[in-house]
Amino acid sequence: MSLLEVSDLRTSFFLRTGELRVLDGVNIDIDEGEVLGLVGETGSGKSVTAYSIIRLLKQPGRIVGGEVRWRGRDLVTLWESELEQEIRGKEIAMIFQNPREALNPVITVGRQLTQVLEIRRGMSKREARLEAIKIVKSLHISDPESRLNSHPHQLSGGMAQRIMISLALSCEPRLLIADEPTTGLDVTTQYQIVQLLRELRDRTGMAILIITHDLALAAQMCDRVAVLYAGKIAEVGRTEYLFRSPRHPYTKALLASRPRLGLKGDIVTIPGNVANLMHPPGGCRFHPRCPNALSICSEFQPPLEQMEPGQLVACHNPVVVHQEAAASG
Amino acid sequence: MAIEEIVAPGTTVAAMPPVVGRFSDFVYQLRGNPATFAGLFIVALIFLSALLGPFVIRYDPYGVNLNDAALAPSLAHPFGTDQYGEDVLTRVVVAARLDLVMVLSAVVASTVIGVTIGALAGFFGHYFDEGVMRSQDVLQAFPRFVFAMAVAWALGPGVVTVIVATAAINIPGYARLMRGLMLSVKESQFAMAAVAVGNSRWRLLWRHLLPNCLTPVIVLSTLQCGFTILEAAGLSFIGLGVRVPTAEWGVMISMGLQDFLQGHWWIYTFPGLAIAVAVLGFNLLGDGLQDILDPKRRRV
Amino acid sequence: MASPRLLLYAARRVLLIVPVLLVALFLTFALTRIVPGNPIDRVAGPYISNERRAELKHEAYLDRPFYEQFALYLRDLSHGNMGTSYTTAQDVSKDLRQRFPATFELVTYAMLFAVLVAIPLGIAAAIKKDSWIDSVARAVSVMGVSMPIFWLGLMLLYVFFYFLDWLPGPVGRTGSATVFVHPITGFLTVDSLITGNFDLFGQAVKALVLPCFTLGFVAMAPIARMTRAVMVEVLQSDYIRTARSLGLPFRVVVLRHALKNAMIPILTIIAAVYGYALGGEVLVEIIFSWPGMGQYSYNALLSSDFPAIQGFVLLVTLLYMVIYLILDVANAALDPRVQY
Repeated sequence: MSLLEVSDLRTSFFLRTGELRVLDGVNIDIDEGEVLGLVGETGSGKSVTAYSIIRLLKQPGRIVGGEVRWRGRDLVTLWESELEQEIRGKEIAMIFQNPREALNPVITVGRQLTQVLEIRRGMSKREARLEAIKIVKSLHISDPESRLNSHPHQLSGGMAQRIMISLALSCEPRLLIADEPTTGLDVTTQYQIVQLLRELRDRTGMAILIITHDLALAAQMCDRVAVLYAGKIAEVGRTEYLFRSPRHPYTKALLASRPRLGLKGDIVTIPGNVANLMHPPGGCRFHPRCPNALSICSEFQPPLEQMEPGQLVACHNPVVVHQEAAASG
Repeated sequence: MAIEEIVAPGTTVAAMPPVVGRFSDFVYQLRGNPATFAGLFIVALIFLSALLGPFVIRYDPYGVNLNDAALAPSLAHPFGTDQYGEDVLTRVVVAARLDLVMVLSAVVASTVIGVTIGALAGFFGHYFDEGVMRSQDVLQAFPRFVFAMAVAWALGPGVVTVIVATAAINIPGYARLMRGLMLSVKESQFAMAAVAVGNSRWRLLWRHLLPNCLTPVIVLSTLQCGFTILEAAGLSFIGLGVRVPTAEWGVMISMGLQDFLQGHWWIYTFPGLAIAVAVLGFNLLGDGLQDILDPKRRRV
Repeated sequence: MASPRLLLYAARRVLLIVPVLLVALFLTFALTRIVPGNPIDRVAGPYISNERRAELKHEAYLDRPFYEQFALYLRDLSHGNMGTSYTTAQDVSKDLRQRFPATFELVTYAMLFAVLVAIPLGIAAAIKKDSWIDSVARAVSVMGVSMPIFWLGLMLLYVFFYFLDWLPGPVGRTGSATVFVHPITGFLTVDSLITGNFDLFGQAVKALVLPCFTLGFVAMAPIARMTRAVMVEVLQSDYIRTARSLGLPFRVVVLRHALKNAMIPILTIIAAVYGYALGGEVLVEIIFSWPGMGQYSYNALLSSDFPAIQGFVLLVTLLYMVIYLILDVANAALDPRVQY
């Protein structure tokens, strides 16, 4: 049994102009110790997926259907108190975008950390202090004592991110959800954070769900990658397969649109606009922009199916895979 | 490449939702906010009383008639009569005009003066800004009503006094607000763009920066109307503003106080109710405007 | 948390009061001189001889130029001499000292009531946004902000004194009791308890109920509104989401994380409301015949008692400045982002 199984998750935002169907049947699963990347454009619903899993959606968002099974238990139907006591922090933890805003500005970061340790792990003040220093040291934060006495606005972006990571790890969760962990950081710091996350995974065997629009990050860190388009999973599979021989036209277009060294001519773009989530196109949501579109695409949403060389793809007319690539992949 | 060329034959691109007109937008916001609607209704009612009141009343608001002194509310006198025999309902309605005139004058005066001071201070900055803000600090060091009392006492009783006193205590609030807005808007990107295109300083101030600071000022002014009614009534109640026997809500309450031990509760209850309702109207309207105009608080 | 830097900040703020106070003094002084006619004529009447009139004017410094008058006033003030009241013939400072405890007791209890009711109410309304608690809280607050304080006092007096006869009428601090107690703290409620005089305690409490509730209710309303508004906003912030994502119990999240942030603007509004209450208490004292500074100032205004009016405005302004300063420093202590 997988650690986390999201089936047909549907989340909508109820606005004046109508219901914005942000997630319309998302399927993801993560195994113990696996690193899964969730990639997509802005507005595809990546962060909303994360918030739906731990049920911290802001108004006017609401989960309207589907299941989120954590070790068999459906999180969608749990009582808020059970979620609070048993799942959040202890089993699943999350780190957020904009780390400096995600930390309480009027409390020292050390206190924020020791508070979690005292309350969630029942430690005494002294024990918590020692443990906090230990965690922070393991994340390669220099001068831990004085760092812990500072307030969030005194920290750099990278440092704040590390502090957030230490908060998330303080209760030793089995799954870490990282929402855009490197966005907004400079390249050097990005690299450091990536290394850090890798080290953590190796050391603790914790699973990680990385949400990002940065394909390079996904390629570096993830075992498997899921591509999200307009609230539905387009393709999901092992990183090597997905990157080398993408089957879904959208994935292919995404990969082709990355700027690369040695590229001649214009950067390829995906024509058209992101699907309107209020009035989505019938059938496959990508069909208006898809070079492979058939008439069936406008009528039926394709289900996720196992395809060569080793991924699940939701497409009626997937990209042709070359035999040599499949054989070597 | 146009979308139609990509889309396979037989498909249609989904239509965009209709563009929402501003009036229907406004009505929608009101519908989601019944309190605001109530506020609007009350304020309209007060304006109506002020405009039409003197034409629809049956009794003379200053018609002393000791035979009918201190009658309890009845059909003939729905709000009863005061100790001089004057009909309370009539006086309450007539007072609306006086109170509204005083309040609007005071609010307009304090808004114009305060906004000007604050805008100039924020716009020009440096010593001018410092000087102006320190002076506002001093004005704000006094408890508001005590300051109004002192000013009203120095100027002697009368309508103008009430206007000046209540306007004076409100100026620092506008000045501070406007200065803050001006400071933030001055540094914004669109301001820099306007300067880059060649706008003179005055044009920049008048046509570009000021319009963007309007919303909070409008909200504050609306709320200020309510508070000014309370302050004006308070001053008149003590005898520092408009005096007995003028038909003014605060004055009427003081008349009720004189007669308190006789138990003639209607003399002060109804004018007070009028004040409370009026202020409530302005408060609800002001809050509602804030909800409607602030994009973060809109009904989504 | 009383770091030396904080104390320095406090000291700097105290020093800053001085120039503001001086200008305030000047303003009050100037105001009294705007009034047409001179105080001697107003008070002494037309029947005194011209020599006596000149004598009185000389004593009151009224025959000197304006700036000299102000300078002399400042000099007297530095000696604690606020002049002599025209109506009580006593030193104004003595008058005010006698009346200060009554006002201070009233305002203190009223503000305590206001804060202790408003903040929990605001928090509850914010947590259970759009529920019935929220609706009630918002209705009560908006009513409290809208009603004239003197009207509320009169209505309550009518219902509870005239109609129900549960509480004493507007006869002062001790209701119907005539026992006096030597003031220790000035707070009748405290002093009567200290001296074991429980009957007086009861009377004092009963006399305090209506005026305190009147002032307190009107003070509570804006604080509750602000608390609710701030809490709603704070509860939407990212750091609250972080705290919840860690599985911290909601109670902890609210009290330790949200409230600490919310207190900063709330303290500011408490300071503002205190200023409002210092004005409102004048009206309350008039209605309830409360023997405090407010009533004193009212009589002074009616009889053009210049020194008394000046003294009152001065003292109340000073009190307001002190409260404001305390709350400002508390704010700086709470918010690590404030530069000091």
